Amino acid sequence: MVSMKKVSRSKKIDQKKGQKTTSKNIKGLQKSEVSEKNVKEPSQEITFRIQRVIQGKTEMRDYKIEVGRGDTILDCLDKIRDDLDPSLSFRRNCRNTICGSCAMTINGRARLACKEHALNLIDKETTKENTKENAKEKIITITPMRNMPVVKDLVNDMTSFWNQYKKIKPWVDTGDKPLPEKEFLMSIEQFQELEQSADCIMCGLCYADSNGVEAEKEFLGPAALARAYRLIADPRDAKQEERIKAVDNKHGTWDCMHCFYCTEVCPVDVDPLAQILKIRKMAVEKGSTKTRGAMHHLTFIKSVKDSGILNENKLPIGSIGGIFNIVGMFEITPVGFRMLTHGKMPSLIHHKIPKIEDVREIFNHFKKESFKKKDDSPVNYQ
Amino acid sequence: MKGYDVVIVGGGLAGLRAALEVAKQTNISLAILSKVHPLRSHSVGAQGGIAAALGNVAQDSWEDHMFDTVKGSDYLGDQDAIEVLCKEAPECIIELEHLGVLFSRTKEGKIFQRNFGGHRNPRACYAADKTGHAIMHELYAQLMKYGDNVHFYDEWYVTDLIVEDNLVKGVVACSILDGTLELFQAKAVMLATGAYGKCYTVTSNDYSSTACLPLEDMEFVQIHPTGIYPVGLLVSEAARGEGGYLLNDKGERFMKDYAPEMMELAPRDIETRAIFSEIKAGRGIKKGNYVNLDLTHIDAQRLKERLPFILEESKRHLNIDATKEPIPIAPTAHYCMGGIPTDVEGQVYADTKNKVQGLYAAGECACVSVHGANRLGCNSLLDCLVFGKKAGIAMASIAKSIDFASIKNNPLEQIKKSIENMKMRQGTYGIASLRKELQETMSEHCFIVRDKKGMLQGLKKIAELKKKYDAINIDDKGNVFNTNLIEAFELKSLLTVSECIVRSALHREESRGAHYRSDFPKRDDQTWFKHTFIRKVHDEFTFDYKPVSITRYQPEVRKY
Ligand SMILES: Cc1cc2nc3c(=O)[nH]c(=O)nc-3n(C[C@H](O)[C@H](O)[C@H](O)COP(=O)(O)OP(=O)(O)OC[C@H]3O[C@@H](n4cnc5c(N)ncnc54)[C@H](O)[C@@H]3O)c2cc1C
Ligand code: SF4
Ligand code: FES
Repeated sequence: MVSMKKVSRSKKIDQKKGQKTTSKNIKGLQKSEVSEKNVKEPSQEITFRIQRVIQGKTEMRDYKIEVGRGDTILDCLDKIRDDLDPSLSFRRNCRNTICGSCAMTINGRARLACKEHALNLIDKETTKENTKENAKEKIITITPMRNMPVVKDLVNDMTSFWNQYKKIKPWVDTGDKPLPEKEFLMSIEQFQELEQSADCIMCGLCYADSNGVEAEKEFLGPAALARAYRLIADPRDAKQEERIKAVDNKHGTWDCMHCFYCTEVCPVDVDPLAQILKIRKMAVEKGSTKTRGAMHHLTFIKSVKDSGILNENKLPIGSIGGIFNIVGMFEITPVGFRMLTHGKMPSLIHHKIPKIEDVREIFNHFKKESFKKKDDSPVNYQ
Repeated sequence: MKGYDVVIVGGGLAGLRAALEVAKQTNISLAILSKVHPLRSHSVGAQGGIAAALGNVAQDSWEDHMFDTVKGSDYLGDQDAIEVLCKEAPECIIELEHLGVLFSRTKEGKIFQRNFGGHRNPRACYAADKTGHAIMHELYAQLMKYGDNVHFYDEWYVTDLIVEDNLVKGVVACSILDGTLELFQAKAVMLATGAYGKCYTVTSNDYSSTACLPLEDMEFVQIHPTGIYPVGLLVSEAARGEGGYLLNDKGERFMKDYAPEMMELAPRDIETRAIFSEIKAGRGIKKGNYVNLDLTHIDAQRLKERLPFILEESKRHLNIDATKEPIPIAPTAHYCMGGIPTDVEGQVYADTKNKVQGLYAAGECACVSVHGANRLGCNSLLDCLVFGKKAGIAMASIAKSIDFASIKNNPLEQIKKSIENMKMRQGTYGIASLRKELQETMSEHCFIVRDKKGMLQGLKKIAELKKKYDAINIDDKGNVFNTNLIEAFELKSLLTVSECIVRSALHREESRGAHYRSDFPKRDDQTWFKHTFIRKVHDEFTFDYKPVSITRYQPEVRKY
């Protein structure tokens, strides 16, 4: 149990108009009314319920401060530290969502403190973690990120996150390619294809909220895999095949369980899940059909193509490559047995759906489309 | 005690670029100490671009680049150093590209280049408006290639530099994670510690700032014309490079009165003073303390491609759609032209003539000087690259040619004691409130326009603050991630640096570049065509001067 302690001192901090502290930054000029936007609204008193580690003991503490419309969570934390409790520790640097320092769990979700506006959270947020009562009482809870140990207060030890990054050999490797005298040529399209995954600021939010990482500590995690895609897709890199192989396995792309949280929490829209799926697709297209993940997918597709509906009995067996995979069978049999005893076993008789031709037509359509795309792909600049 | 052939303090662009050069050599041990993880350094925030006369978009030459830089510096930049900077720029950019940095591209697949203030040709290579991020993430990744040969000490705060008999011997650093204090012995040390913008209230800069040694040209602090009003966060010059207008309350492009030729793309000192004058004359928007940066006439699609971060930034901070509404802006403290004096190889001067053996500096903390009295946009990332690389090469060769020198007076125990003492402080003043007072003092008395009376007042206030500092309070008594303590160290450095800035500014009785004195509004080449060296010995400040290097261009009147 974590104990609760209230720090009841509440302080009003230069928040006349609910905007950030404006200073006399231009000598000799008066403080003026702040730009007309968003400032009519008075500030509100908000309680921040923050996880602290005090003399080795973890507890939640409440801090009340006045918050204006423009204030980010980071501004609020700064105020709390500056005016109420200088012993509060958290990381921060750029204040501008580019350095990745201020990652933490805010109202139960992994987020950047410098990106979120406190009052917006109060206005619209009731989540599982942030109950209606909290919202009504104007409470925002802040805890460190999940999936990584805590150093102190809101500071995580991110060693495991960085180690996964190192594992994928994160540098562009031109291998034996001769270096041109000037730059390598790269098309605008190629640049744009890389831009999204390269935007990653290594904040760790995706790693913190990933169900895959929670279930399997060896999982490379969303950020490292997004980085892997950024390298695989870079026309200058000479190690495409090796890179795909290196992540086309259990703790690579196939440990991802499609929880979608990485994509949801990423503050700069890297969409790690999309990058993971792209690598999987490349791997399968390159003929890697024997990983359990690939077999799962292919069985799935085949089943839908054959009967218009998933045959749930065949899926686990197909995923391990058939009944002759003895080890695999040993692994899945207990699960099957438990399903049986819990009444979750699907019906043994599997029917085709009526009008199965329509489903096949859809498959054909996609096949044609993907060929078309390949045809008008941009000139190869390498 | 730990020992490394080479120790680099700072994991920003200058530090990482130097590190790469050292890492490439075999059998040299290297440690990089940084108070924040390298990818959290200030350099990742650089937006607009990096200058090099590649001539990819229009005709350009290193000589043009050099002239623009010399003129931009109000002729205070050292021309020998500027020549190195501009000549080596293209090669440095191509190297980066080969290392995997993603640059925006032209239709032909080359690195795109856009306009930037003070540069007459499109010369800024960029990656959308996240150039620093793009470079830093690839450089850091490249360093992973060397595995354990490159030892990163992330979140270690360097407290002291050990120099004996004019020879550098190492540094002392404190682990922020657990409070361990450690002496790092080294044959060569590089300072790449970045800027000190936190002296001001409104700043576009982050929190990684410290100081050390004799300092050159400290009076020249760049105030960037376009900080988002009122937060101060930067709207990159790229916005004007892409064609943005500056408008006053009457809706006029007022730059026509200040720089009729280059308009919004004049150097920053001129833009900043123009905005200041407009606001002062009551032509700020709604007579307030800001003017507008207007992008609405530019094609929205183009803005989305070229300036995505700026659009997102204005949305996030002001809830403004910059494709449809102007962004309110006001000048914000941004860059320090002055710093630790070095020669063209990056070696640090002990005074105006002698150098410290084995000690190097590059990047924003250093003063070569390529920026003189006013830096041009996109030249500082370049400065980090060119001189960071040079420092790396020099240190690698020292590492191979000499042995470790023994340290006569090991300062570790003494430093340990002073840290313990600091932690036990139970005074009346909080760090944050003192820092705020200091920032207000600097913004009030030593900002865009300065005069003697104001600066003397400023010095008086700083003296008071130094007294108050002796009675600060440290709430956090622990060893683990004690930011309270680190901020106390930083405040001490900020006080010293601020005093150096004001004293140097008070000393220079002329106006040049970013240093504008209302009581001496003209440039005075007769008396002041020289670099200021300020040094603090105990509590006394002494001045010295160094001539400016002129190789090609004689000082002229500066018109844009
Ligand atoms: C918002 C913004 C936009 C910019 N845009 C551009 C641009 O478009 N083009 C351009 O050319 N320039 C730009 N600049 C300027 C440029 O980014 C900086 O001048 C440059 O990045 C400085 O790099 P650096 O390596 O010297 O220092 P930094 O990147 O600041 O790195 C300093 C390093 O030193 C470490 N450090 C400091 N003190 C200590 C200590 N005591 N102990 C241990 N470690 C320490 C820090 O941890 C950090 O790793 C911009 C600056 C800002 C703020
Ligand atoms: S992918 Fe997104 S959430 Fe994950 S580390 Fe990168 S920026 Fe952060
Ligand atoms: S402080 Fe840099 S990302 Fe939030």
